[in-house]
Amino acid sequence: MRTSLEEWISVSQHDLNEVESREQRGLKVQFMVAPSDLPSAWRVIHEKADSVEVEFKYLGGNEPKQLEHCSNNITLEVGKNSKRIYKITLDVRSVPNSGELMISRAADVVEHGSGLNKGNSEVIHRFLTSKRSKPEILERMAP
Amino acid sequence: MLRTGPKRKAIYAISGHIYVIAGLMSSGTIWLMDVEKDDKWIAQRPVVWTLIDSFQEVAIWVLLAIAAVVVAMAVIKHMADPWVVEKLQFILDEYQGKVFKDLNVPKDHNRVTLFKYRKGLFFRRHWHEESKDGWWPFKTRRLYGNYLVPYMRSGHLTLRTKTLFFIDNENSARTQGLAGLAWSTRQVALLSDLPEIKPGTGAAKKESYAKVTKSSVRFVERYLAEGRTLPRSMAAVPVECNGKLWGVIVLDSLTSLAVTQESVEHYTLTVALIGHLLERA
Repeated sequence: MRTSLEEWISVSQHDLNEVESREQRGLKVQFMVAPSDLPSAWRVIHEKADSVEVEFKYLGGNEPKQLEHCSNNITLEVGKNSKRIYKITLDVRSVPNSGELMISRAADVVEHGSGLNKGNSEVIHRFLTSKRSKPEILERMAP
Repeated sequence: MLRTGPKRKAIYAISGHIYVIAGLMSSGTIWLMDVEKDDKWIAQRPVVWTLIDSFQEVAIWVLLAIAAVVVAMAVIKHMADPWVVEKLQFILDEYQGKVFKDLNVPKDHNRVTLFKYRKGLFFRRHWHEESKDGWWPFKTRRLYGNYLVPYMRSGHLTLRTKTLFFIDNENSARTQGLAGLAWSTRQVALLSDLPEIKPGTGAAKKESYAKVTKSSVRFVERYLAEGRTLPRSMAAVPVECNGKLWGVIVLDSLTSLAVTQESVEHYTLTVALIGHLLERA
């Protein structure tokens, strides 16, 4: 078991929280993801030989979690109440051992996953695919 | 609006010990009820027996009174912990102080209000103008509905507000206010640079204001008729407790650009802390 790379890395909430504007009668309403749905930190865990986990931490309180088995042998750990994504588990036996491909499959699952918290899944998708965070995830996922 | 003071604190503190006190008192009362005149220890004490005899006549009422006090204290204990209320108030006051830099204006010009989601409230005054015909004979009071109700506010002014926002969980289009919009979208909703609305402002402008704030012209006019000034910038931030939506924090200001994206972005920890404290409120 390796632990050296498992420290939490803080997330730039400003980069992830894109402001969406809608104009009504000449007046602009802006929408942002709720603070509780924005991850505050993330890390990669290599606990088991056959899987890699990307875990997210939030500022909100504790809540019970449930596992959702998705396509591409990806498992999401989701908050029972908030439907936020707490953990993405990638099965390295069935997913080709290419970090890039694993990330893109995970991003796809997050983007099209049903019953997820919309704001949160958009943020996680943005995080997995952004030019800034993706290389860092790949670096930490490397075996 | 929730507040705490020395009386409330004292009652809450007593309520923590009431079970011990009530247990001892009821045991003592039951013991005294069982005492008889010819008991050995009392036979030589006629004065004590007279007192016990008088007490036995009302003992059942004493027991009932103890039970009533226990129930009342259990209800009080179930209410928000004064310590938590105090801390929440402190956080809201600080949030107000940090977000709104202009200190030379009355506190009610820039407010931070915490609204709580309450299910199934009856006969609440309603200011939305749609479908009110169906509410006869209550006219502006909806028979039954879910609302965001004021729970706590920063500062010491406008604490008697009765503004509440109707929430329709089946049809978000009927949900009211920017707070309702934040609740139904589970997102932060922000409005700034709103036009200044005065009693003489044209109907079109009032209608635009009402539309964008998800209120109604009737509400806007009533607000102005009461001599109040409509906010020119506001934000509504959903608040969670244990992963469940609990309510909404509303920031509003009479200054057009006082509430900005930074007013929310820089205070995510504050909002999260409020959510954590609400676990004990």
